[in-house]
Amino acid sequence: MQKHAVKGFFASLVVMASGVYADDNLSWHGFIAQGLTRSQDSAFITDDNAFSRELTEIGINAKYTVNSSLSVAGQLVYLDGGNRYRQGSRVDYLFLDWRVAQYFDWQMNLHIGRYKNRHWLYSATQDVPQTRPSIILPQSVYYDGNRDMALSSDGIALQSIKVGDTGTWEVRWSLGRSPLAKEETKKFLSPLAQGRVKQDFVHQFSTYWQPDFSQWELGFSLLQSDFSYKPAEQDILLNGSSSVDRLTLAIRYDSENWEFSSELLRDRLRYKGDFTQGVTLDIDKTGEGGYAQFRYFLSDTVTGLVRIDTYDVDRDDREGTLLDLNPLGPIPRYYGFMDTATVGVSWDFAKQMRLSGEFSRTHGAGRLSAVLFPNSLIQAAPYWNTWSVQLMYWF
Amino acid sequence: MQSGVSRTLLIVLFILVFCPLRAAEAAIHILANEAVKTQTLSPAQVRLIFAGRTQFWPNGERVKVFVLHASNPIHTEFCRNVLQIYPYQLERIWQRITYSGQGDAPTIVNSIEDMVAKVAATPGSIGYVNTETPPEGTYLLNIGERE
Repeated sequence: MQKHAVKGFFASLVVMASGVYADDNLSWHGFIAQGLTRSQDSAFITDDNAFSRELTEIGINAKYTVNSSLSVAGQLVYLDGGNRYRQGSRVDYLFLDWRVAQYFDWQMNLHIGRYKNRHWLYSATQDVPQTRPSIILPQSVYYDGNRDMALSSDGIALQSIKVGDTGTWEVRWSLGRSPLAKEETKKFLSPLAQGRVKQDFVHQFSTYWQPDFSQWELGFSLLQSDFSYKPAEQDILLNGSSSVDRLTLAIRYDSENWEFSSELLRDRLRYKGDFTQGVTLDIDKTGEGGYAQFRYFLSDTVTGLVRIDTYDVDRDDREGTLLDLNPLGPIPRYYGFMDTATVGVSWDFAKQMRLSGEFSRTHGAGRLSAVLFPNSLIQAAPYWNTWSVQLMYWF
Repeated sequence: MQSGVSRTLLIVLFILVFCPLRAAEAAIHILANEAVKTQTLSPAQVRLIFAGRTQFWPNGERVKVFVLHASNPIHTEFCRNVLQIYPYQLERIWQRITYSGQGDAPTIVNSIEDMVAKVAATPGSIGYVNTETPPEGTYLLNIGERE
């Protein structure tokens, strides 16, 4: 009941805002998307194999330009994605945008506040349904369990765009951290954990290059992040820390009637911790994955999509055989990887309105949750499916 | 047989990498409001402006961009021949800046006549036309080498 009330409030807010007159200094935009979705033989989205309406995204954003050097921008969203991420409202971003340098060939912006991470191909607007190539992004790179952390952080970010003889260069750097809800601690670690996981920092750098008037775009990004665990008085985990180092390579080619994009990643994950039963954890593993995506523009309004996405939790154990010996209890081997094939279609049937549908077939469950604590795994069969249909409106 | 396939793939790759879109045919001209004053822009600078990435003129005045609807053949020709990108790429950039708090997408107008009237009446504005005679209050901006 409360969920419907919040959803209704957000939808009314967006509809009211769509009628607001935007003057030169203030602009409003928003989106409403509602769909039907189902994960079959997996609790990735739904628990009972049934179709669900847990595919809601409502957002409203505004930008106020103070002067030629300064503006403020923010976005409020309400999300319901089933088990994919925390259901409810959040401030996706709210930052001061200072245009430090502004020439025709070179611009540099400094963002202070809750800045948006823009380091991957789709991360700048991964929260906005009509800007994504598919309803659900490839989980190897855009892992929904990390949605809020990946989307924005509290701190500072610098971004620069330079047009030169070699083409257009975009360089981005950011340093900050994301607050984590208590329920996310239980999701990352274990339902039995009573304390809180805190992100100490996340440091990112990325560069994208588009050769002059070429249809190629190439880029890479680096990420480093540390986490620590603050235990409760009565807790199963006495202390703990983890760190992530990530390298991502990206490529995109745009043709008149089709688009190809791909991102490859390597993640080094380290966990350390002491448990009350005398178990000590010291894990260092490197995961690898990526996706290749082909979109074909069948007409001005209809687009088809085919994608393969793969992720191996441990590059030294791609079949997951070592999960039998997991120190916190055995885990099924198919949690050591996750391979997904997706087909989809979207139709822009009216101005600012789109209907999208997609189907995915997945082998493995290695990207549904952290593959560490047996009692925090999201349940799935070795092979499982996802179906989604979503109607979107934006202004 | 295998070497023939490899050669074909190499040729296709070479064409994709080194052959950009068609060169400008100059049938479309950039139209600016008389208050803009800038005389020449490089092709890359024009692209930054129409992509919404350059939001202020050197004199501090706000850049206001007018474009035709994506389905209008003049817009398609402008994208292909002047900006040398496809309309869907431009739209993707607009969506990205609009929904990440980075700027505003151009204002879409219904016809060339509407475009001319809006550019003439809006200080700091820029658009495009398929004629060589700029109406009062506007001028044609040159596309040349980088300043």
